[in-house]
Amino acid sequence: MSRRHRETMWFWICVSPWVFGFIVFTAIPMIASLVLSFTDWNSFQAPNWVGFKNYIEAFAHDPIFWQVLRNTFYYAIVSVPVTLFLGLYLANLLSHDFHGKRFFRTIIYLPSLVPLVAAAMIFQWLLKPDGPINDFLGIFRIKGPDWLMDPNWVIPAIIMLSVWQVGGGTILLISSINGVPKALYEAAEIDGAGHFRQFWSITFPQITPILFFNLVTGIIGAFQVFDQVYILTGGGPDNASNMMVPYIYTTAFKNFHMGYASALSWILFVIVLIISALVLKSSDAWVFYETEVKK
Amino acid sequence: MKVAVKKILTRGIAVTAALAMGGSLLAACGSSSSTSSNGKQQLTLTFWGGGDDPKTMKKRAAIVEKKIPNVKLKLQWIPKDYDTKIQTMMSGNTAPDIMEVAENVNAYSSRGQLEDLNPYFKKLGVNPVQRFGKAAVQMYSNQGKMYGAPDRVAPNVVYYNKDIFKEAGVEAPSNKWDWDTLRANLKKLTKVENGKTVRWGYAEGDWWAWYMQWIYQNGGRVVSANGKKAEANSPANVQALQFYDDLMWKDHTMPTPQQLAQNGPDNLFAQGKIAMETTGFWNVGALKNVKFNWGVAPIWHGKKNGVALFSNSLAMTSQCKNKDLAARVIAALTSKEGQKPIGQAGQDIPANLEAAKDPSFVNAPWNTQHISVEPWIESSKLAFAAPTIPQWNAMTQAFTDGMSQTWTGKQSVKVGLDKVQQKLQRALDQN
Repeated sequence: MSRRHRETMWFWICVSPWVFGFIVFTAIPMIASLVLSFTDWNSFQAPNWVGFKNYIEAFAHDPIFWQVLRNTFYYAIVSVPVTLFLGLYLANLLSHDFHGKRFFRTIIYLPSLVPLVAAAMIFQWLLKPDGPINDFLGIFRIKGPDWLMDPNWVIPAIIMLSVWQVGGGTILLISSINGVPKALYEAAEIDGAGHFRQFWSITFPQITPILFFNLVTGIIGAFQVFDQVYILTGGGPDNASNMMVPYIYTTAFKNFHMGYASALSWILFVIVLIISALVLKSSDAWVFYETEVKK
Repeated sequence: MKVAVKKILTRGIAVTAALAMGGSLLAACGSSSSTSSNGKQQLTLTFWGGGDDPKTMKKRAAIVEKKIPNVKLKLQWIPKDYDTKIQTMMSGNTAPDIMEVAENVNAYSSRGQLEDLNPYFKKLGVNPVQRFGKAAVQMYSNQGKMYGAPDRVAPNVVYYNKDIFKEAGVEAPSNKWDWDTLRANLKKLTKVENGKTVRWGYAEGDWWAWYMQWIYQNGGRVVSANGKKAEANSPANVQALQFYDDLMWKDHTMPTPQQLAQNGPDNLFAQGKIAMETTGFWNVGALKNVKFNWGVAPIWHGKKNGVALFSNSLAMTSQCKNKDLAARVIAALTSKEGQKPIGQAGQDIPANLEAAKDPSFVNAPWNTQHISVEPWIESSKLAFAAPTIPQWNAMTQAFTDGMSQTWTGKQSVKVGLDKVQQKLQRALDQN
């Protein structure tokens, strides 16, 4: 066997677990759910073909679908940018050299190590109407809302939980900021650039690939939010905090409308696909790759 | 910089792959077998619960295996996400032979997943109504077919703090109380200091058993007899839940959801912050170490008697491999003897009425406080059968969703029930 062939063989052997995993756990279920989305399958009995009924049901007859979709967009539109900018801000602060740097990095990163279930339990307690957060607001004579019981405040509460876990993205950004060549800063300093100017003209463009990565994964994650909602509020009060994935879950596994749930999944998939495509498209305009310069 | 990203990406992929492979391993061990080596027929039984439940079930299985020598029971304990797992097992054709099931029994039966037990019980000479009582049997039946044999059935009862009652000069609660008596007494039992309520008269859980109790006591119901029409916002129901709402928001003798927050009524009662509550048998265990004297009594009445049953049953799946044998096992598990371990462990009230009355239950080691089981036995006779429609989950969700803003004081009872009506009717139409 020539070396070339041997390498090819090893390539396939090494990659096969992932190819297998993709086919069995992603591709086949996806195709199956697409087919099932055109049926009335209740997960027990043989499904009947119903054409586009499930899709029409979602868009034309199901009031909860629209509410849930609105909630999901609300959550994504607020939580993704807030997490991204806060992460960037913190990363910039923490990338400087100062006393106690490691300590603060640990503090910022620690919340993202707490399992979401535990974090949600903590927030449930923090957000009680007479809980610590409202006690704190009381110091400033602000009467805090009922958070998880108030339809207007429940999504902000869930967003707070996701912002609390900003540390994961921050760590990525810190390492990328530290990876920016020092020579660039030195040159800028000689040219008389201040801190802000240095950040805008050097740091920011240099780390756009990581920001972009955080943005894309953040958007996908936000549209698929589940744990926070399921544990913190169960979607309540009256679906005020219900989002797409928890709704899909209850539809499929509590009410046994597996066909309809499959249709909802595909609607969500297409939405995420379109948004991701738009973001990818936009990346040409603002994401900077060193390799491009060399071309 | 690129190295860092690459590291994270590869790590992510490795974790995903590990999870995926773990999943495939788990999926492989869900299947059940049929005949074991020594010629015994093996039947799988799934059940949920925590703590001592597996121990008790093991004891009961041993009793049954002694009684029916050619059976071997394979117990499968599913403490979490029970219904999701059962659903997956059923659609994967690896359903258990016998399964524990609660009020959502007809979600399975209406989709052809459960076997009618009546013909089997008839053959075995067991009369279900005689064995379990009418309400319990009705809850696990649909159109004359019984899909679950009641296994543990505890009526909702009043737990009251004797010390507080004495201090407030209120006689012990009983079924003789009507709603007016209740309301007047709750005012006496509530204690306000410096404008702040330090003790409420009463609190209850936010679940079907409680709101339906008010509805049934007021002569209302939730769905029509044929299960096709929602009757959530009938005048009787509005009146019933208005009474309940007034206890919270007018009389302030009950904590509001905001005041309750994550602190459930069972906790508040154990802390001595409420004078009484209505709840299930499980609370006996939780009150083992409290410092006050407490008692148990049957629940008051409205226009009618209405007591909710906390229950579960044993059902035979339609994928069961040996139905005659499984029926004999279910009959044995729900016989007086097969139910004894439940009572002895003090876990619940056995559904078998004879087992519930048996001295081995009352005199068991759990009963350190020498509580009489009489209030439970008496309450069983006052019970209503909850409408265990196939859309049970959607129905309870409709109530939770529709009423949530009412209970927090942001909308009227009528508006809440109108929402419930609309959601429930939609669920019934969808099937």
